[in-house]
Amino acid sequence: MKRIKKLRDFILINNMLSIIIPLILVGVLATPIIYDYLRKDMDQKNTMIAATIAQRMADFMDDSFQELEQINDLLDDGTLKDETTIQRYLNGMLENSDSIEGFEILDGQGIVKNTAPQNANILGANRTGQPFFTEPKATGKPFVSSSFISQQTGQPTITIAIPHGDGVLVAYLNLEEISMLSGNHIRTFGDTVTVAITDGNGVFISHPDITKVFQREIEANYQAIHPEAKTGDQIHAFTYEGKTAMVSHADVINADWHVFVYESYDSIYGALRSFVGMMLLFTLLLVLLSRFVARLVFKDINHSFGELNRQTKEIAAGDYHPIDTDNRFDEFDQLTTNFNGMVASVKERDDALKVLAYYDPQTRLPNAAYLTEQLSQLIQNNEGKIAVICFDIHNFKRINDTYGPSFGDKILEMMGARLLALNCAHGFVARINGSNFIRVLTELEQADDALVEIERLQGVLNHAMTYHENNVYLRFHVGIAIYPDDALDVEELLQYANTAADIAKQQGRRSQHAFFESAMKQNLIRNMTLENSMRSALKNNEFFLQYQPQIDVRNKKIRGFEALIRWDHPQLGRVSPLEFIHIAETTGMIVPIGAWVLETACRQIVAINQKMATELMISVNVSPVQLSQENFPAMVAEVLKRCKLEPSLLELEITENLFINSFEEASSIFKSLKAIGIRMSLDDFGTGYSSLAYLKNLPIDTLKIDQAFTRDLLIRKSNENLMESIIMMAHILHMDVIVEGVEELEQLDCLKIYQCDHVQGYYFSRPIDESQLEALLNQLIDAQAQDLD
Amino acid sequence: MKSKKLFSTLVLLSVTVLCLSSCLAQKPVLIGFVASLTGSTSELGVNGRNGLLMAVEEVNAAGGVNGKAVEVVIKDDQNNPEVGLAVDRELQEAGISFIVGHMTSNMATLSVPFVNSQDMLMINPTMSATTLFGQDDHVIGVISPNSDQAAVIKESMVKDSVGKKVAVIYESQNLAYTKTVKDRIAQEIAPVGGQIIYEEAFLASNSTNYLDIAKRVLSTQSDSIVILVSSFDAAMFCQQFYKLNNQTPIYLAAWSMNNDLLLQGGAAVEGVTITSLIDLESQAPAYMAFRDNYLKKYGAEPTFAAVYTYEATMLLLNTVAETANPNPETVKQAILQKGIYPGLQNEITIDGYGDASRTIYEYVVKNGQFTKAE
Repeated sequence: MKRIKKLRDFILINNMLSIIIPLILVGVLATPIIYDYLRKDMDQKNTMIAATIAQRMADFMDDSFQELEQINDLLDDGTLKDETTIQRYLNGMLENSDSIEGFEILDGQGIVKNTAPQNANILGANRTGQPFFTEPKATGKPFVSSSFISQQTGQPTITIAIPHGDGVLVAYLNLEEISMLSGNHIRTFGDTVTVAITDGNGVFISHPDITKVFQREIEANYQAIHPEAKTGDQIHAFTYEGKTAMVSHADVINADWHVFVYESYDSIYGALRSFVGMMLLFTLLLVLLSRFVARLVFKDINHSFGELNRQTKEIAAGDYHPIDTDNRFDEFDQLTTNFNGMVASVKERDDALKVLAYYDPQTRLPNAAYLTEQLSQLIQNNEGKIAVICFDIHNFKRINDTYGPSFGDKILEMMGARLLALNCAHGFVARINGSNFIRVLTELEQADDALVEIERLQGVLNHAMTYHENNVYLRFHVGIAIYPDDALDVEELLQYANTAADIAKQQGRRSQHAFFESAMKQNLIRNMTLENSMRSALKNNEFFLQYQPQIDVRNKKIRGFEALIRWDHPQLGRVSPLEFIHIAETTGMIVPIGAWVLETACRQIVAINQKMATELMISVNVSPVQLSQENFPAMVAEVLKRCKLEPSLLELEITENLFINSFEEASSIFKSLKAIGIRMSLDDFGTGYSSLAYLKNLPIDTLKIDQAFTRDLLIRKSNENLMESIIMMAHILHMDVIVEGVEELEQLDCLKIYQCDHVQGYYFSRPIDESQLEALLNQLIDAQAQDLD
Repeated sequence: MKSKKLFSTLVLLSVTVLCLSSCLAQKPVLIGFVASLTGSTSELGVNGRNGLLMAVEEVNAAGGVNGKAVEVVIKDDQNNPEVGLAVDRELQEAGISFIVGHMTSNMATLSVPFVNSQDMLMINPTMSATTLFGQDDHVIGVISPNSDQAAVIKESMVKDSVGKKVAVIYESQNLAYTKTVKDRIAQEIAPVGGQIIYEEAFLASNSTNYLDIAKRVLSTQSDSIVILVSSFDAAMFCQQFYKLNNQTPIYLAAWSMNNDLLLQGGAAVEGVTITSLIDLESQAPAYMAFRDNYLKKYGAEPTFAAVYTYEATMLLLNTVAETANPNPETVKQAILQKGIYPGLQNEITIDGYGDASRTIYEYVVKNGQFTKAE
């Protein structure tokens, strides 16, 4: 994983590294170069010093030889002709010379003829064992001896000699004097160098530490240095007394002498140290400076970052404002510009999303989400009473079915336009779903203020909607829930307004609006309880059937029974089918319940027919939900088969609601069912659409006239005429007619006149339990017999 | 954090390296060398130092003593017993327990008692005074007692059939050597009727009147002259006898056996008989190699002083290397126990007192060269 670093540290460290690394590299590369340069420089300088000293020594030797030559010349030209003048002259020369401490004049046999200073021991001595006699005599060339300790002075000494006639002239040179001489020269070169001179064997002739000369010490590295002296530029370095020193050298040309100049590497190291020190100091200063500059720079960057950070935080929190920073960097400006572009597009998208999320595309009205959010906001703000007015287009589905869904959409669009044009103050109008709208009305002083608003809305919406030359008039059922009187939260308010609207719908034309009441809430709870216990009810045999006989009007003969479902709820007691059938349809429970009813009723009628040797029919109510099940006809056939019931003895009662969805579909189901051989009955005729088209085109066997007609039958003459017409029409269409709700003899008599086929009602029998069936049958048979009698 | 860690690692590493290098760099083996390195008698000392340095270089080139380098602290005793004692003390105070030196017998008078009083061991290359012999002391010698030289001189005289009268010149600063040899000669010649008829001690200095002494000796008309002095002094005396046309045979002791004798003596030392502690014609491989190296390094023939000091140094360093816990006592015991050591030319036998017994040779100067006597 990549390590997250702090930008500040990153800049500081990189800055530092970018200074340190090149400087270190420079240091690392430069140090050996400088070291090498310093060494070469030192060697050059010291070789020069050695050469200078060697030259001085050569000059000195030349001078010394010069003196011998001078004596030689004087002896030759006879200037020094006798012992006395020779002696005087030699003594005089000794007095004038610092370095020469003695002369000897040897004859051809090596016998000392003259000596200065005068020494009886030496005068006449034989020098044939001495190289200073043998060498010049043999070679004829000047000679320089190696050093020895003079017995005269007890000091290190060398001899130089030149041939003179067949003898030799010898001079003794005091090495201490030579050392001092070279020491004087050396002093002019400063005290960092040490100069030494050795003879051809490496024995010190001159050294600042004179004991080395006195003890005739040998230059420890003579063998290593000297043989290579001629090869050139190799730099010699050796350790002397624990310190490494560079040794440069030069040869004294007129003697087998060698000048060595020593200089400790300390001076090179010192120079290098100061260079490295300067480098380090320079690096340190640069690092400090870079830190300072980096901090300054970073201060601006930090400011820009901080601002950017702060403002983007605000944006992240939802405040979509453009970023505005006063930074000094182009990159930040670009970043801010990009960011602002991003913010703008996010805001734009947000707005678009808001429109998508909060507005209904069809009506351009706010949607459910908007409603929920705004309403909760209003509730939170607690700005007095709020009316939540739910209005639902009555039978909008029918409009869709009739004119097509695009027409429905157009209607909604127009509605939206009208509502928007209304410019609802104090709240808003939203479309929740389908044909359901909510007007939220705020700052309500009293509940009835809502009614004024409803009227205003209806005033707008009641005008005909015209599209493609089709005029539609909309009817609404309206429910009103009041905050905080009815509920305190959005969901409940919406639910209650809806409930109230449902109630208004149920109330039908009587009232177009309903205020929510607590009873409705009870009702809601009851419905919920019923819904929840319905599933177990079937299993627990809480449902049972009652049977109401259908009687032939003419002979009072029993035609059959209508099976009516009942629910004995363990807590709520008897529950009306009006209550629970609706719930069963919404939950889909009607399918198993309906199947149970069908099978139970079929078995019962088969049992009765067998027992009583009758051929009674059984009528079973079927819900449109059941019919919409694809396998319904098959199920019916299966039940008939299982119960061994003659298909012609089963009559399925359907309501006109079935056709609301699709006539074609209903027609095909009818056909399938008819194919089984059962009878089809149209229930509650007269309460719904009572479309003659249905009657004409569907294979309906029985028409059941709703009890509402029966109830009003005797009240007005017109009702009697209507009844008569319906019965006549049914007969013309070859339908059997059953009139429901016959409770009085007068009604029965009246229906007799209109030639009604069958009646059903309390006049003959209430719906009865299974156990009472036999008794009722017997009773009816008896009554029939009496009638016949 | 990371850089701190790196830094401490570096510090730790360098400290470790420093510790290791200081631990690995072994302390050197320190030895002292004391001889007369300045003044007219310094020839012996300087040659001795050259021999010593060759031995040390050889040992160091071969890896040192058990891996330790040998370092020498060189002191000049100026042929003065007082100075000799002082420098011995300096060495002792510097923690040095092994000394190679001194080289002239007169130095023994103060130095040997001092060394005996300390936890020190002195390897004596060339002090041959008989007084040093037969003592259980802190001195191990690689040289025979000077009585052996006296015996050789006497043998030479007998062989040369010189007369019985012997004149002796001897140096008075190094009486420990010269006087014992002189007395020993007297003892040696007495049985054959010999006798020292004249003896003169002299103090070597730049004002020494060699000629007068020579004249005095010649005036005794002795049958032979024995000169017990340093090489330079011997040459000077020979020069005087040469000037005086002396024909009396001259006998020199080993002290004079130096190149100086030939250089300074020239034709004057021709025919002189001299006792030699080394065999100049030795073909022993060790000696041949040594001689080659010496010639290369110093440009001169090795003298007995160089050979004996080389041998003394080798004896010391080899024994230190072979001794488990080298200290003056253990090294001394190791040397005594072994008894026989390879010298450059022949074996060195060391007895229980740490005294050596060596072959001594008789040489004659012939044509300016030392020539082994028949």
